[in-house]
Amino acid sequence: MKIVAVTACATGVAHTFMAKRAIEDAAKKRGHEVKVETQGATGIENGLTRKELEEADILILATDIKLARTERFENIKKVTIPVATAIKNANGVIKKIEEKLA
Amino acid sequence: MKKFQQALMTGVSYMLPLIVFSGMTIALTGMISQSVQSDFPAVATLNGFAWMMMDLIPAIFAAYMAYAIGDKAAIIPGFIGGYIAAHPPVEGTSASGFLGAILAGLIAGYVVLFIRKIKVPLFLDSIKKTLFIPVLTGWLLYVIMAYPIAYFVGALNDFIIDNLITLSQAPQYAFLLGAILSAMCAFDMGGPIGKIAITFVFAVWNDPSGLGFVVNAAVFPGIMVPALSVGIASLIARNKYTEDEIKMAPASILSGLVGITESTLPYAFRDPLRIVGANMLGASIGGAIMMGFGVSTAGVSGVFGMPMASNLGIFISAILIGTVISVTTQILIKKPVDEYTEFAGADDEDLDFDITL
Repeated sequence: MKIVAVTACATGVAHTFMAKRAIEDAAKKRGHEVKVETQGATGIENGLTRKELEEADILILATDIKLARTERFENIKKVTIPVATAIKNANGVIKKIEEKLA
Repeated sequence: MKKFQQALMTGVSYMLPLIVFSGMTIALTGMISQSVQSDFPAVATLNGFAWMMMDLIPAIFAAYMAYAIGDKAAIIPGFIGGYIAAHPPVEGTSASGFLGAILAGLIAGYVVLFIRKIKVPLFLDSIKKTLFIPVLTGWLLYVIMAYPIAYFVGALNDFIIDNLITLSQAPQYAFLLGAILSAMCAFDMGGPIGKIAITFVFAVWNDPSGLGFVVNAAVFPGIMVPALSVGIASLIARNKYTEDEIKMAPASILSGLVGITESTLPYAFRDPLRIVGANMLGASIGGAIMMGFGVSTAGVSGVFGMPMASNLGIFISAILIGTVISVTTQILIKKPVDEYTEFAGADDEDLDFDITL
């Protein structure tokens, strides 16, 4: 599967990047391709391109705040979860997605 | 409720840099004026300017709270409402503070969301967007914020702050308030509960009584003790922490010093009850000491708040004592590492999401 994700927390220095790493690790461990965009304190980093979004099977939005540039995410299959869920249990999140998409 | 929480967090997220800028500028310029005998007019002017920026914080907060709900068109109505929360224009009313700013953000957000949904003939649509929304919602926010909210919430705000000032000036209660504020920060390490404590600090930040700087100092143990303690404890009692945790220790101690509580999270996830319990105990004792002695500071972010402390000795002792208590407690109550099974965070029941388009 091709997984793309966006992470954002209120302060944008710690949880945002911990969630990114958790999603990347879990996705790779389960054999998926993954790219994670962060919307941290300084803005968008590692931004998702239009092509990546088009090709993705699922978009994970792990956020506690309103995301920027959400118009890019229209008409893409997505799930929205709190940042804490991604950090605590990214593996479970991806497993659940696999089940739902199967 | 989830929408409300997200809006609140968005407001906090966007106002944070302004708080850091004005807080640090006020602290540094204050320090320069105090330590240097001769007057620097430029420094005093910068100090005054930073206070002006500080007064804009509720406006920025409300603007981005509104943005989270009603998108771009809600920013300015939210700003207008939030500005009035700090600067009541009508005589005989008072600033409604953060409480008012939260209401302004909510009202502006939902009113704009509602107007955006009203269908109008095509030739009116551009007028609706460029004229109706800014002018009508701006007026609406003015009327609501300047009259009922400035009157009632303003009075409530005055009441709360007056009582807190009384509490903070009576040492027998002040220590309790300090303990609670610090414990809240230590409880969820940068999460929503701690943010409530911090929001309270900002709400009374520019109160003329100086209460803001006292409660600001009182949250320092809550912010610094957790990350310092897990780092130090994992270096001392190596058999009770995992390899990863020991490796993270220096980074965690550094984070604690500069006031980033979040680095405690990995430790807390693995052993929530013991880590959070020990940290809350240490932090609340630190907070109690800090506020019991009425220490104040205008600085933010860990050690950067130290030079501005009104009593450096007690400031440092409060954090040290809190840290020692937390370190000792967690070393005593934690079990050696091999007694743990694999990381037990896989609680699948909060995974009730749906896939949407």
